[in-house]
Amino acid sequence: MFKIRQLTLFSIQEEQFTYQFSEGINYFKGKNDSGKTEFYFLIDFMFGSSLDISKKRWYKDSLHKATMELEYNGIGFLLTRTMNPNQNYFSYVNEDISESIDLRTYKDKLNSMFCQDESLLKEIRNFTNEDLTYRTFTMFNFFGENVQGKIQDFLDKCSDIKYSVKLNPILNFIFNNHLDKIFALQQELNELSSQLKELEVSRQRYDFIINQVNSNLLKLGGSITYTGRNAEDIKRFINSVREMQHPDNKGDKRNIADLEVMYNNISEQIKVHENSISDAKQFEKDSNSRKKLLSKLQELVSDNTEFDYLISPMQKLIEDIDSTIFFSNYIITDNTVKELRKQLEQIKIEIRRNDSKFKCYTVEQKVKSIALIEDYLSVVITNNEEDLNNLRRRIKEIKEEIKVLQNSDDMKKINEMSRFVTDLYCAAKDISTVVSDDIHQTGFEIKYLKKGNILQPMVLSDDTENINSNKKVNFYIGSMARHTLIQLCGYLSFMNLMLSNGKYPLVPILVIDHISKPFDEKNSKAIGLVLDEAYKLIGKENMQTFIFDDEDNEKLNINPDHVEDLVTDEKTGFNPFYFPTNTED
Amino acid sequence: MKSIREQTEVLQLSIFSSIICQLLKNHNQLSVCKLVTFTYIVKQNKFLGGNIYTAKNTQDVIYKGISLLSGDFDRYCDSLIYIFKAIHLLVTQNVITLENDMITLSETNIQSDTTFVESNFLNKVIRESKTMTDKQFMKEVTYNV
Repeated sequence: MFKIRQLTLFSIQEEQFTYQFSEGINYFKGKNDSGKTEFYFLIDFMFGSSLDISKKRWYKDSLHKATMELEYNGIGFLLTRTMNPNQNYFSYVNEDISESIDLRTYKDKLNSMFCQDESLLKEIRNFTNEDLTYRTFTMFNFFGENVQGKIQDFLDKCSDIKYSVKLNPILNFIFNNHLDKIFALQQELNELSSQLKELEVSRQRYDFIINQVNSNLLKLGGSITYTGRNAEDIKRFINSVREMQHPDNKGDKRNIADLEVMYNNISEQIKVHENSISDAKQFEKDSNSRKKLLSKLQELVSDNTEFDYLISPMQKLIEDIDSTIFFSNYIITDNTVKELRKQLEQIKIEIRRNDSKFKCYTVEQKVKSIALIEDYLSVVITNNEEDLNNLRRRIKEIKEEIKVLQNSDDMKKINEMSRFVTDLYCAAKDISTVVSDDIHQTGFEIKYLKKGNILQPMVLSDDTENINSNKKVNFYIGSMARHTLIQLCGYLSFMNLMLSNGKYPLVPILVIDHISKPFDEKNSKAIGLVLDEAYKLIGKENMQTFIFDDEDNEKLNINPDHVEDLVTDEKTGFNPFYFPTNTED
Repeated sequence: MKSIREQTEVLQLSIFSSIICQLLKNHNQLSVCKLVTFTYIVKQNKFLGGNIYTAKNTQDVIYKGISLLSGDFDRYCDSLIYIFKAIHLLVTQNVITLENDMITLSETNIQSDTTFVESNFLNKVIRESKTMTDKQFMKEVTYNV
């Protein structure tokens, strides 16, 4: 059970004023400029918003601090916030007020109050990889006047990017029924990642040792290479060197001059190709190459007319090329160049390897090499490349699986949500003209779409071709009153969904500001009907509603459990200590 | 200086002549443009340091073959002179004949030479290129620069 009992405002001069609240609907009427919206924001402020009230004219020089007393599951709490955002107090009702705490601690305490179930918090964190606290869930609590009429992405706080980025994770969490499977997969993922790290470390060691042994072997003039498995062969080779036997030199396939020419060739080719890519004027390039070709051929002919019979057909062909298009793919050329680059690397390695063939090494260096090789050979290393690849593949699979599960929706819950919104909306059919108009459309219903957080009215398609098709199509119709009513139903449905589940760190309140704005005389009565219908299912003791408006509650057909006027003889508005300074005195 | 130039020319001509004969021995008949291009590619292959494409490639074989020329167009044009001279040489010696833009081998007693050998991949490319017109072929070559 949750109930905000009262809110007490303290002035700088130590005066006090208390607003009492009851369970169910609390209705506050205030004319223009009486601080309705300030009251609306103050409730959010008391629950830990980062609003800085010290600059606002309503509070500056008049308000000292505000204390909210609330009761949750039978325990009474006192929450106090002052003009200094980091000077806050949190205590039990009968306790003395202790030292002040900063905003972060204040929010943490509130979070643990609304979320006694630690396993749920862990579940949320594992599912979304984010910390979603009761603050994030406040997006379902506040329905301001700025977004009235929005039925796509209809939550007020989601216009703020701080909340809009968390909307999707929250919706995924609410409408997902694979939570435990995802949790198990994520555990597996963590374990495998740490295994992968270990394997990578040992792989690095493996590479290092092989490189060291091979470079030392080169110094000894051997053409044998260490692969990790032929330690015996290496030992035999070292022994033969030690006994000063002449190492047999298997002739290399390629000599250094060849290698250098190849290297140069390939690097030039790559260079020209890249430069011509960066010069992106393709057509110019095309005709440039044709020009080059033709001029070369012309050169040949002008030197020696004998060649004419050979060249002129080709010349004619090239001149004609204009009438063709090319089919080859730039991807192929890029691929070729990529391969050329790989060849380049290979050749570079071989050239470097050949370095050692032309250097003289002293006996001391050779002795040192032998010692080093023996040392490295004694280390047992394994080539775990295959394990590494398997592990990487498995990790990738798990990540994909998690993603798929995270995006799969619990259609039952979503349909339940749609049904509830439709039922609430239709409850006003006897009073509201917009609602009754809609109901007369065949097959009218409001569908909730999780993607985009959309409330979409739908009707049966009146496609005369397939009378029995039963297909529903989107029903686009205007009127801000209609949309605002649908929006209200959306908010109430979310509250119902989450409160009946009981597992979310949600403050069970709904705060609505100036909802009567888009409604005319007749249709504004629909608001009360909808609220009553919602409370039939939710129960007055489970959710407290705060409504701020400038109309009388009878006009909105609301039966509040507590009604109050913000403007009285003693005060000009919500803050009783605020007196507007007369500037023209 | 002049003698070095002549020596280079002799070297080039002999290399190209040998390649041309080998190609024609394997493929019977080739058009002038294709023969010229493939001769150059065979020569360059020796300096590539390895096979980028193997006979296992089956898709877009012609385009892959021509892409081996990317970045190389200038050298290709420079070599053209020598390749044409080599063809002319062979024609005048009646080793090959030119008819309707197609070149065929007339001398049947050519020994196989292992210095410049066409790879299996190139073999495939040449065979497939017979299905392409000369005009299209040259368009691809000039585009590929």
